[in-house]
Amino acid sequence: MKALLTICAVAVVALFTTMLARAEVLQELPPDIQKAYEGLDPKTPVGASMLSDFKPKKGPPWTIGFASSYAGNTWRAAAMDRLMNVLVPEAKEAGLVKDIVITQSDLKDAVQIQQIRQLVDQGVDIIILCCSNPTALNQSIKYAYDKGVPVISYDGFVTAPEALSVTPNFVDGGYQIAKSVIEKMGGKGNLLYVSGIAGLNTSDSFDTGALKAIAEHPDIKLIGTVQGNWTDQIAQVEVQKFLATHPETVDGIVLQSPSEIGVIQALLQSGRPVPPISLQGEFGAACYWKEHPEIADVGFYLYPPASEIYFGWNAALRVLQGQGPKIQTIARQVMKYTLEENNSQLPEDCKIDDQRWLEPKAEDWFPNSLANQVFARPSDPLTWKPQN
Amino acid sequence: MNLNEKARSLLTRNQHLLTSVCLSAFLLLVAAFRAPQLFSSSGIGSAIIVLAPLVLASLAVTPIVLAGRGGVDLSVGPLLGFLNVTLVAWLVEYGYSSPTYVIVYLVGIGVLYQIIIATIIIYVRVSPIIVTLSAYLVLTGVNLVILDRPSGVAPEWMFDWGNGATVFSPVFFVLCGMIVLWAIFSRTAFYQQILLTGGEERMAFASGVNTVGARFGAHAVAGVYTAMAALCYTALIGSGDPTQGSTYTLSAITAVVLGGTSLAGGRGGGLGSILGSICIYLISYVLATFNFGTVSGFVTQMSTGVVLVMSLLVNSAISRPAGETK
Repeated sequence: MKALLTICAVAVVALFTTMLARAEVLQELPPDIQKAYEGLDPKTPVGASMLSDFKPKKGPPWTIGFASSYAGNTWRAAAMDRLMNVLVPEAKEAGLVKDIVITQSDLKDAVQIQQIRQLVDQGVDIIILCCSNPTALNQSIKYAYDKGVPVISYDGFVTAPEALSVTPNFVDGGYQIAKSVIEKMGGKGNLLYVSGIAGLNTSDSFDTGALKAIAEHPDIKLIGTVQGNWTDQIAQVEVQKFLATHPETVDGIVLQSPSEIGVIQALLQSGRPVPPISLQGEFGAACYWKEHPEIADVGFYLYPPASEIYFGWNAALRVLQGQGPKIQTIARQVMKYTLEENNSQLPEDCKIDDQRWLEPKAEDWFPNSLANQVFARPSDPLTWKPQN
Repeated sequence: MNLNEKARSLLTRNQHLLTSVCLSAFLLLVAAFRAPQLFSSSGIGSAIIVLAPLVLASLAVTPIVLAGRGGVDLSVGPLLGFLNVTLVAWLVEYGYSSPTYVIVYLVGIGVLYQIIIATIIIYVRVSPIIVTLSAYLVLTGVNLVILDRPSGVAPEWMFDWGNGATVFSPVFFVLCGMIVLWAIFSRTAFYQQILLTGGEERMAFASGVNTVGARFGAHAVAGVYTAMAALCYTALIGSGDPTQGSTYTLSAITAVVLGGTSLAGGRGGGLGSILGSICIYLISYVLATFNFGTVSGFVTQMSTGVVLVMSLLVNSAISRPAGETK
């Protein structure tokens, strides 16, 4: 009985200390950086990073593993283009990276689990993941950590305590984006919501934020929700189906990108006016905005593909350099862009079927001011020199 | 002479295994050169935990296919997903997560579901593909209603099952146990009745086989194996996922076909499905050692497809002369 009590007491104390430690790391960050964590998905780990004292076994130069989950849309293509044509060459030139090994799991978690383990056994120095299932890979991330291979998840978090996640705040992003459309609508009218992929974490987080904004405005009537599957063609068909069966006016559309140009085309085909709509950087939709400035006041970068992979890549190099992340998740807020900035990135004769993406400056997406706060021994990865 | 005859009969009986045996041997050989770490303790350990749900799901589909009449269970994946999400969202959530509860629940629901499906197929006489496709769609939706995103945790006793750093993990013993069970099952008269029903239904009926019973039995066995696949899958991901289960339908059926089991029924067996699953794993493993970059996902799919067609061609080529000489 006594032993049981002691165990209980120890457990309680341990629980409190971890809770305190968890709260402390976040509270030590400057208030403006803490803001990015507000409303973040409650399962996102924000405790002290287990990689704070990590040192690689060897190198530089390092071999990087990229266990990608999918490669079949414009978003992934834009990210891969930045990785292979800019990030890897410049890191090779700086003598930091020897090779990159990329695997694709075609959205099958079991295959991604196999590939993570395979990359570890193959001897890569670090593994980068993109926007994966937040819980399914945890055992494999632990497997990698136990063998001295850290895992960085970008554009979405994983709940494994061993990993470092770098992610935009999707909940707050969904909220801000929906709110801007609602304000443009004058706070009243019929709203259509084009969601992402049901059952995927980032999509659900965005939903949470968007629905919160809608709930705050009682005069907004949510007349329908369709799944755009983050694919223009699917969003187009789904919105067409919706419009065919709903004769009422649509006064505003909140959507998860990429789908904006599909939605705009569905409206044009059905002869409806394009109401206020949310924009997240698809070139085609940006081009439409240039010609029709009345559809939005502002655009949002929530997960610009090339900047997101820069974020993950930059963090991975810093971890390899032993810069010591302080916290398990580095979060950042949604970033607004104006119509002028939109137009300045577009070519003169832009087309609405252009597959590229608007991007913020990479340095703005993961600025040194943020990196200097979340890493214990910060230094620019490309000019960093190994000590001793 | 006697020995020779025995060997020959063994060979004829296991003709359907030819492609999967050759293919897995070839892939193992390539792996030995390209990625020898596969044969380390952690390499095999990882392979076992990743393979277990697929092997068990393909064993679940096998008896239904063997029982003939175009039977194939398209809903095996979503059923696996359903068991996974309900285990996480209901049993663990409400504290009924002891091993006994979990296994009784999984097997009970798995068998119950299959009996319902079998009843519709047998008595309402709707084509199995239509019934199981509808079930696929229904379950896919239901899974998302029960768990709207990947979340939850596996039962506590299962936490280190998904580690796979060593060969002899709990998943290894579950898998071995289920394979031994299959070996026993395939030596029963009941199994012979399933084969007979699938091969020549009229003859089976005329010679006194309870064909309806055989069909029900085949579905019940499928329920048990799907349940164990769901158990191993939950251990693998350590949580619940509403959409991933569905990916097992195609992989499991591919494994069954690769293993030489005829979709027309009556011919094939569990060993083939196991080898077929191993082939699927090895194809993806070996291809991942080549750096195909962005297109590697498609290369894997394409290769699996090509291998599947080739194995079907080989199978039909070797089984036809045997049929003609009769």
